[in-house]
Amino acid sequence: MLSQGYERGKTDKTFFIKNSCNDIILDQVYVDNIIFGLTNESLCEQFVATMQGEFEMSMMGELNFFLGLQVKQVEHGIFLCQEKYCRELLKKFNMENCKEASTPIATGCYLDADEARVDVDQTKFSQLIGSLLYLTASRPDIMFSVCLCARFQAKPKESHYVAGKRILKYLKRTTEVGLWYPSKVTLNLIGYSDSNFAGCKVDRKSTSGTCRLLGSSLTSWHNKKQACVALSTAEAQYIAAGSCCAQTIWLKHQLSDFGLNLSKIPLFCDNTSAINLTKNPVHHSRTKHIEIRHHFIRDHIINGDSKIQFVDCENQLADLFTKPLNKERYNFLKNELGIINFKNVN
Amino acid sequence: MNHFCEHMAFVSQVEPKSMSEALEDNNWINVIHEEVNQFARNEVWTLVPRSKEMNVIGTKWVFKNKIDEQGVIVRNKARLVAKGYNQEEGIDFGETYVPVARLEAVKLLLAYACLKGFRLHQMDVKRAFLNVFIDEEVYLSQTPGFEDHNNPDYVFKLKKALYGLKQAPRQ
Repeated sequence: MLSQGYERGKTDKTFFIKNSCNDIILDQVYVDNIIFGLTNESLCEQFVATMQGEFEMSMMGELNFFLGLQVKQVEHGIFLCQEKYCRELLKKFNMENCKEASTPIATGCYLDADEARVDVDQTKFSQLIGSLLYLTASRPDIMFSVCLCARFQAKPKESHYVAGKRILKYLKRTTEVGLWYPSKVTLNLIGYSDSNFAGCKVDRKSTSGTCRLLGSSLTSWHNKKQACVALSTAEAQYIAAGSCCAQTIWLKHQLSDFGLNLSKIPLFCDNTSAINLTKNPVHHSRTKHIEIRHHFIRDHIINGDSKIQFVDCENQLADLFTKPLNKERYNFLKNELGIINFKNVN
Repeated sequence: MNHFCEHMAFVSQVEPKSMSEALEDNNWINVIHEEVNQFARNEVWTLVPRSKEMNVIGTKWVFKNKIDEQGVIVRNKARLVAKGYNQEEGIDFGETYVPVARLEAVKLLLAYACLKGFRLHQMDVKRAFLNVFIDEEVYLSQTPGFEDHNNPDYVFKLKKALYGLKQAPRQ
């Protein structure tokens, strides 16, 4: 491919780009699957011809199914979902006719090791978690609840299995939900980071939840229990902001391969102390113990790669990844992040 | 509808569990022949005499029916795979790492394409692994049912990768 005048992505070795007189060809290779996009439709045939010269190719036409993701390309955007997989999943766990739930996790739900309760089959529980984890590729709305259940895979108890089933009940109600990427919005990259302080009842570690949007499209998100115990909310938030920053930097590099250079990418955080920590290197008695690697974010803010901004709790979109929420709040966040049913796309 | 019926006639509705089961169905025999011819056409292997120091790897047939969105069986797929788990590191294969795109990268591309307003297309490489030569010396036992009658104890020396080999995706 390189011989045809393509350039390999600097960060992603499976990404190729070719610029020729204002027309750009982008393609992403996944072993034997190739997705490509062209700014000029007439180049399409030419591209296919060159590829067919090299390999025996089967042209599949417009992108509609890729690595288990169903893709719908319409006039004003792209819709991504795993509806088919979701249906199969419900069937596999005999939950096709179950009751429906409006959220994947109850608001007051706190899972702990639950030593006293009855054991459940570990294999079955792991299968459930594994299947659900794959579904999170297009369903960030179940990310928090799946990750919470996943922590108990080593010794699953009845209560954990019940929590897992609740996710399936929620999926039953929202099988057709996926990610909506609208097209007519300004191109910018923003990140949100949040944490729940001492959220894990077992070892009192906090959970970071972060997400990043390109325009209004949710492109990457993550939920992770922090590796160390935070002493204050600010510290937990600071660590979360750090991991969000790391992801943002990766996206920034990736976008620069696309020919888009961004700087001062805004990162939204709802904790003023954590924001001040990134600006002011003064050591306070309550912050001086913070590990060096968490100061990564401070460096990137000084370099101008990123900037951190305050957002009120109401508009903190990463809330979805850190705590169980009530129905209203949950639906509000889902709407804001574009996690919707294709029918409701307007 | 007419076309539909015509198409159906060439597709077997069962998924055989073994070679002997497959050989009872004409559709499957055709598919198997096609796959074997494919190897011959691509010059995947050469027949060489067996020697003691070779680690000869067995093969296996995998039969799979492809289903479309409505759940109708549209294609029978037979694939000859190598039993890669019999390979020994350092002798039969070196690195097994393969660079693949992250799903986030794919989503980013989708979001970007969407904002820039261009359509995305996809295609795939047919028998991707048969396109490249392998560096290591790998020997395969002959395919059951397709042995060379003149040289029954010869083995195949692979020139190109096969599904199931440890180094296959990497090439």
